[in-house]
Amino acid sequence: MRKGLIFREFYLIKNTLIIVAVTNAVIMILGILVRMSMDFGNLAKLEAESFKELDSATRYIFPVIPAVFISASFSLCGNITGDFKSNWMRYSYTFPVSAKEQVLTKYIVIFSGLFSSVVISTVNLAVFCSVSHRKFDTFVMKIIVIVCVVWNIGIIFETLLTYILKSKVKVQATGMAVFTLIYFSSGIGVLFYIKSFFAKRGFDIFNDSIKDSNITNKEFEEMWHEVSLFIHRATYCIPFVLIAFYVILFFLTVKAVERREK
Amino acid sequence: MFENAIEVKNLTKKYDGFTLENVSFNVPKGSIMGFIGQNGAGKTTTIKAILNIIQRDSGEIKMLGLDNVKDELEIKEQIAVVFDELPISEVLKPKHISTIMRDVYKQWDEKAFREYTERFSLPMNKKIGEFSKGMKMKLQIATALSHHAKLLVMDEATTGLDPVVRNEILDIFLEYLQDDTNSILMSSHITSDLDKIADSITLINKGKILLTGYKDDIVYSHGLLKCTGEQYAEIDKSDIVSARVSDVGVSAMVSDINSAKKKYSGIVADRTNLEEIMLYYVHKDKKEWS
Repeated sequence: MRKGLIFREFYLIKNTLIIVAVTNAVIMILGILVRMSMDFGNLAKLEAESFKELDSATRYIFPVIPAVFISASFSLCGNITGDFKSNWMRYSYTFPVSAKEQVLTKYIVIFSGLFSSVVISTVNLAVFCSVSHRKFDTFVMKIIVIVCVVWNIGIIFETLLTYILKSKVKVQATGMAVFTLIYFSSGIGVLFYIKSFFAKRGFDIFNDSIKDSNITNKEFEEMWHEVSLFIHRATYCIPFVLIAFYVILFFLTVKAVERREK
Repeated sequence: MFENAIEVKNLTKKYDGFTLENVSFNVPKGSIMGFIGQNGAGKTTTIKAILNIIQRDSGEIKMLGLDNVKDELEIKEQIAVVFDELPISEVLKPKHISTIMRDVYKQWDEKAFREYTERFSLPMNKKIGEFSKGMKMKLQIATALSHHAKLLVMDEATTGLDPVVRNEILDIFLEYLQDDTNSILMSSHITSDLDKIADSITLINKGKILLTGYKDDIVYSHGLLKCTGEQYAEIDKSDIVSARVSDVGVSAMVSDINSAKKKYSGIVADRTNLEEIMLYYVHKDKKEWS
């Protein structure tokens, strides 16, 4: 393991890490202030229904948003587009460092990004749950882990693409095309799922197709229950999915590094 | 033991619109070879192939007696490369380079690096982005020389530097060669630098080697015949490399000045230098140019 190369990766994003720390602190302070207001301030005077909605929203917003932000910032760790830009990539080919070691360095840095995202988010969640007079919220923790892992897989995938395409513009174009397709398909999938879910429930209740006005909290709760089940199951799968992606993409990336410019 | 620090045999690399064709040359151990040619001649492509940064189509390359692909890591422990621009992020500082490189090279010598940076007056705590071009090049050279490399490969390293900095750097290279097991391959189109320090020269043009050998042999064997149009008409064209034709007369480069002097005794024969040799060889295909 080349500690010097790992040091370089972290040093290059030093300023970004400071910004992440400050922004995380600001969001968490904001979250704590909102919670305090819900206990002792103006927000405590809200009607029961509104209070419940706000309580439910804050439960997710304040711990999950920093997790997304931190994961996104850590994506700069091991970002190789900068290496191509500064010609470091060409320079690194002159080092007595094997392709495996080079990729391993990147992967250690990227994985430490995931680890740090999860640790910081866990601390955030613990603090937020404490000020909200709740037990540690394992459900939100699961959402955070899924967010961080999905983002991390995106980063190692982008790393592979950059090594193959050797150009930031090409990676962005390809990434955009691939992810637009994925998001578009997911969007359609979610839409059909929600539609069929409510249509089924609507039919059960009203013996008719569902209309917006007929949707009640009960249906939402039922749907949320199914989503929760999905998240719960996904959390168990996530370590295996992560390991599989790391192993497969590691070997593909090593091959891409070994494959010299034609 | 190996005799040549670099041996390139029949190196071929094809691109759309450009081919490196059967390039062969040797860099003798303990010497500086100047690798010259105009922009786009194939110098950087050859160096990239030597360093295994690009795949070659065919040919054989040995560095320090080892195969450049099979023994890549072993070779790279013993060589240093200097590019035309510092390939290190500008947010880093010189002190960080030492932290990075001591894990990259087994023989990294922190003391040597500090000595070089002191000698070049490079501040250790200043961001590289704030350095001048000359300082960046000095930093790159300090980095290259701090792991006791046996071979230094430089790609247009002195291009864009002022004469004072260039001279300072050339002195460092001469010092480096005091150890006669060290060698340098230096690509450049600034022939005056190579006139000063190179032991041998390889001239490449349009992907083909036009000339390779000891610099003094090349410079002293070549010469310029300064003649009128009528005198030029009488010269056997197989004796000349190429000729520059102008209104005031013709300058013809010959590869054997001594025999040309004897053969064309009525024509003025002048000594020449690397720049002129390169210029006339580049126009070899046309034979006559203005």
